[in-house]
Amino acid sequence: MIQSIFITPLLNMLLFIGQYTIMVTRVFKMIVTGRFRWSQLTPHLYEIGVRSIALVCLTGLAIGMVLSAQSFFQLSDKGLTGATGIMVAKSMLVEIGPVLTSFMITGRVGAAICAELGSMRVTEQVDAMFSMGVHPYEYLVAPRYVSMALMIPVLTIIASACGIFGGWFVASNLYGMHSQIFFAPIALHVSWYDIIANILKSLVFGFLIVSIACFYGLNAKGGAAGVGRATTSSVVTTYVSILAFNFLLTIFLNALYWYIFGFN
Amino acid sequence: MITIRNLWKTYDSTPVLKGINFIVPPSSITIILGRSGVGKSVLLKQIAGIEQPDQGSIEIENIDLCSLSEHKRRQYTAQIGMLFQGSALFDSMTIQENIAFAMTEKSQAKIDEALENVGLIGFNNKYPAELSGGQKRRAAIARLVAYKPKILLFDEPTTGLDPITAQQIISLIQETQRSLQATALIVTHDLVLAEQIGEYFALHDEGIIQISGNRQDFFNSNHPLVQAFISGRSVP
Repeated sequence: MIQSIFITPLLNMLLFIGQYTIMVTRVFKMIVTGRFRWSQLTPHLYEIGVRSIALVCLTGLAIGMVLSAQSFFQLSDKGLTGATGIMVAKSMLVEIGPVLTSFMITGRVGAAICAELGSMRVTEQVDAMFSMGVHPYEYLVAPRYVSMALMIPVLTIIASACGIFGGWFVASNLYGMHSQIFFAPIALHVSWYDIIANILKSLVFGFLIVSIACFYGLNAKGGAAGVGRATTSSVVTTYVSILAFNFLLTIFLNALYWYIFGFN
Repeated sequence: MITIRNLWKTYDSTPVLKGINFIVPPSSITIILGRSGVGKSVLLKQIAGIEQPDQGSIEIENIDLCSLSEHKRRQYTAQIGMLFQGSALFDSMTIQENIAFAMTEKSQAKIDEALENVGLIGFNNKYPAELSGGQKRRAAIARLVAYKPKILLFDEPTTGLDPITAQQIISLIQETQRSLQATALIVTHDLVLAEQIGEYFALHDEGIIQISGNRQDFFNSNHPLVQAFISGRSVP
């Protein structure tokens, strides 16, 4: 009873973490030594980056518009509508932009990576690759890590910019706010630190998306149903990991800010 | 020559290989017969280096693959080519790209030659999903031959094919082995295939090689499992 409730799941979790860590370490080693298929970068850059632009633009725009409408509404009876711009910008840059972009990329790219690799695993294509002297990490995994690392900060910046634009559009066109009132506090209060936080968070989330998707995909078993299970587990694990790491990164970045610039 | 000694492999506490001892003679075709699900494919995956055995040794040219580092092991296993049961062609690539994948020196002439050898001229730009089962198997053989391995492993090469297509695949296997002067190991439960091209035989059951020998010794054996397998009776 105790074994089935506590010990077995704990052992399975430790096994999962161990295998995941081994995979990530080996892939990083391949990337650092340049021992992977560079020719695979272009298609993955296109798939992860270019083909996701429309989605992240739309998402950023929609969230920015809602944030602006809600901020204006909530702040109007307190006479603080001038803070609408800075609320939208700060929220989009340090929190909502990275998290939401990562969620969208998990659904569009992470799930696809897991399903593709899972399908290759259960139809022995991964074994065939290995038998031909090509390590699947070199060909299938490492190029995806590099492509994600290059594209996700760009996508997050684009989503954040679209969010700010959407916020301005609603504030100025719907509520008649002067553009200067919307943008002036942004120029004053948004610092490089916010942009660095945005990029750092997106890099961590991108790593979680691609590493978890590849891990679940390459360990899929049990035919089409197994691939489906692996994809679902991959997406759920990624979402939970992003939320957990977002909290930890926020605490860390705040503490770092206070350490560098002092507590105000 | 491939020498396998005391090979063990366990999945989730279930032993599949329980101390396999077996020798595959060089430049010949060896058949491992056995019922479905006894672990014949698992044995091939250990030899191809796709999986690591729990215990035992696999020696190729007197080098124990199991004692080598992964990097060195891959240098040796690169001379092994394996035909998978489901062909295992890469879905996202055309047939031409599949063949070129493993080539060290890629050239259109070599790709065309490989396709011609298996009777798939003009299939260069087709995707695996557009091919029939027999065509996929032939394309997989073309990919296998393209990098000229010294050891050929075939996992149930005729399973799921009609008798005519199966016969074509059998001929292709024979031609490939002869042209490459390779050591071929075929696992199958297809007696037609086995009797037609096998030179040496082994029977795999209960996780071990029950009996092995040349054609005459094997088919004349009084071993009850061999007799049961040949006659299609249930094992006594």
